[in-house]
Amino acid sequence: MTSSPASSDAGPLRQVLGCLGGGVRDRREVAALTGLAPDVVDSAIETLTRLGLLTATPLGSACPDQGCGSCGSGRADATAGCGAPGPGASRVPVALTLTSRHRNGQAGA
Amino acid sequence: MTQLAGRSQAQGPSCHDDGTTRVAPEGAPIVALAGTPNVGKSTLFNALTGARRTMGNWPGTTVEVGRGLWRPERSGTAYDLVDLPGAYSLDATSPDEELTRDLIVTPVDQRPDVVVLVADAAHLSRSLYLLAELREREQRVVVALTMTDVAQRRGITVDPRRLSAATGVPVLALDPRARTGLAALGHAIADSLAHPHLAARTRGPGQAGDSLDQADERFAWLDAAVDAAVDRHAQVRRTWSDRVDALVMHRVLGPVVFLAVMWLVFQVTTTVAAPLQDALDRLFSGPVTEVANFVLAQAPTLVRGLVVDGLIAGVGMLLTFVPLMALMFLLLALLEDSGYMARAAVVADRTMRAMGLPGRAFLPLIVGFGCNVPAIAATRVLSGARQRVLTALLVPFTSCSARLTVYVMLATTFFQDWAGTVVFGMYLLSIVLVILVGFGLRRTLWRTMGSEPLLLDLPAYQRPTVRVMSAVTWVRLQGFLRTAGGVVVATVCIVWLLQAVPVRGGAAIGEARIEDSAYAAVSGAVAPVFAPAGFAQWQTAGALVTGFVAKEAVISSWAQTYAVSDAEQGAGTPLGEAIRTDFVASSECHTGPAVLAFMAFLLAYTPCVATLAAQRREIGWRWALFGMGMQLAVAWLLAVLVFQIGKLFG
Repeated sequence: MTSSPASSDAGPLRQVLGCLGGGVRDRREVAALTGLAPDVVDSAIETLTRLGLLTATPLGSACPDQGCGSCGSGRADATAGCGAPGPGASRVPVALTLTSRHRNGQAGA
Repeated sequence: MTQLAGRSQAQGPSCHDDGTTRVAPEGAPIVALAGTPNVGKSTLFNALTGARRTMGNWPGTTVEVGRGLWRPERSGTAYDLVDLPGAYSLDATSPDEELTRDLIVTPVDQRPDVVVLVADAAHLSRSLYLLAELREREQRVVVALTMTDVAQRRGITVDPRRLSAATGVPVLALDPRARTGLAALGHAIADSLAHPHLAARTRGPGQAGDSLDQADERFAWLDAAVDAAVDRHAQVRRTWSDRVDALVMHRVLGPVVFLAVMWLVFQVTTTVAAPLQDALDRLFSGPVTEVANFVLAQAPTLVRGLVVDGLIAGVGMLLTFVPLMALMFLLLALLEDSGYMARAAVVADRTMRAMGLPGRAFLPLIVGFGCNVPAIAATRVLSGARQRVLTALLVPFTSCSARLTVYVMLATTFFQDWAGTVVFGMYLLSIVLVILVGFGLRRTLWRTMGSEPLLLDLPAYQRPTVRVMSAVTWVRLQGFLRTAGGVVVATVCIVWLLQAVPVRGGAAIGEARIEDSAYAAVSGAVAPVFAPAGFAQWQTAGALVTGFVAKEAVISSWAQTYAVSDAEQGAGTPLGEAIRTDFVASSECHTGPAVLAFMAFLLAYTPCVATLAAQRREIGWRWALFGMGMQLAVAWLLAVLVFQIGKLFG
């Protein structure tokens, strides 16, 4: 599912948001659809994340950020009780999701 | 107020210095180096000051700031050079950025005399956002372009003159490592100081809007500057990473490559680990059993039965899988650490979406192939309640590593040379089940389900490191050993008790034949259900019942049951042979289909009580019990289907 970005008179950030909202999943695809340079797309995504309009979630495991001690499957000594590599595993995809703040149309309010 | 101007060196950061610090004289112009992290700011600072600096926390903060004297070549001017903490923006989100903002955003007379914005030419727009903000206030700014060589290699050329024209500030390229361009920077700063503060840029539409509008206006400005100043060569050489991605993430070839890689993993696992597994098997059934028998020669039969036929036969049999599990965990860790598994996840994501399933569901499902319990917890990443319930119901169909031990034992016993392929086939079946059941639930229970847009970022490929791989392998192996030493030992004790208690024949506890035990009676009551699937022997039904606790317990229960039986008959039949005999009898010689049907049932029915508990925690009892019923129904239907169709082919 891929839609065209927001109208061309929108700024780069809104164009990128338009692409993500339309189901684009790849930075290269965002660049191709918007005509923005890949570097600008990267930077726009970084800024949108900083503005709280995108949330970055590492998807490699379900491990809570606080570590195994705060996990339902964790052991009493705060070690993994499930065999998962634990938090901090960096070789995983990261999902960048539009936050409800943006979806509700309250961006930047 | 935090400020630079008027602050003497003694008041500045001064926790420690290198002993050769040179201090700028009072009243020397303050030049602040600003920029995003890792653009070469500190390298430039060292090149300009000769690495003579004071380092320390800025008063009242925990942020480290460098400060030193810079006297440009052939210039009598001395500058007080300050290395500000890295910052992407003046809208601070960290203490480092807060300090940078506070030191720059002050009344005009207290600002640094010049801000040198160090910009990475290879990631120019990332650096220019801060410039867009700096240009919104009266401030002298000079842009120092670094890493132009890296940009060139990536096919990017930045023209400083065009960038200067587009941004309205002096721009020059330099290389702090080679110490080139430093004199030009001195001239640019001197020239800048000779003029009043630069007027703030006129902002376009959006300046009065919300924070997104303001940021968007800055982006439009920097995008125009990048467009004006950057040339991208049409023929940029594709990196090897791009080439690998083109194959492994190809819409058609990607899934094929993934399946081929996984087949290789199981093939290597089953063939390489087999001799080690055999050696451990001989160790437990030979010397360990003999020593235990010798030591417990005078012990009561009940105790000897528990230790020899229960713990050594049951848990020992499970421990023979340690080399196999270790090897598989190691190979999977290799794929993860290299960055390949992240690509495989994206390929899986595409398949999920193509089937109309929620995209982000693929991650819990991928985790499920390791262990279903954290996979159920992973459904928390899904935003919608329906998506969470659907995914939590699908996770048990992912074939966790506990089930692998049973697959391997049966595959090596019944399909010797094809063992790796049969095990791989079970994983393939697992994927098919996830898709079909998910599709079925979408078509029946949840016809509407919101989708959540998201963008996936992949980690770069890297050479796998021994440290990370061994750590991940060890953590997972510990999980396997803990199950063997905890849940399985407890199950062995309960099975032993049930096998010792007679329900017919009138013998005393511990003296009855196993066929007359409570265990055999319960198993025998369940067994007829599996007759249409070709494995109606009570020993197998009993193993499946204990498999509710943990799938590893299927092996220990079999080993325990046949060990007791052997002890009664004074025989010493290998476990594989004993199982084969029973499968042949119950399937009327259609052994292959019956074994495959058993494996299919094992794949699809409730993984373990821990998974059930995790489901209850995440989606409640009602859905957890619904899931259990659905899994049993699917497992039975699948097993019957496999056996009945298999019988047609012999």
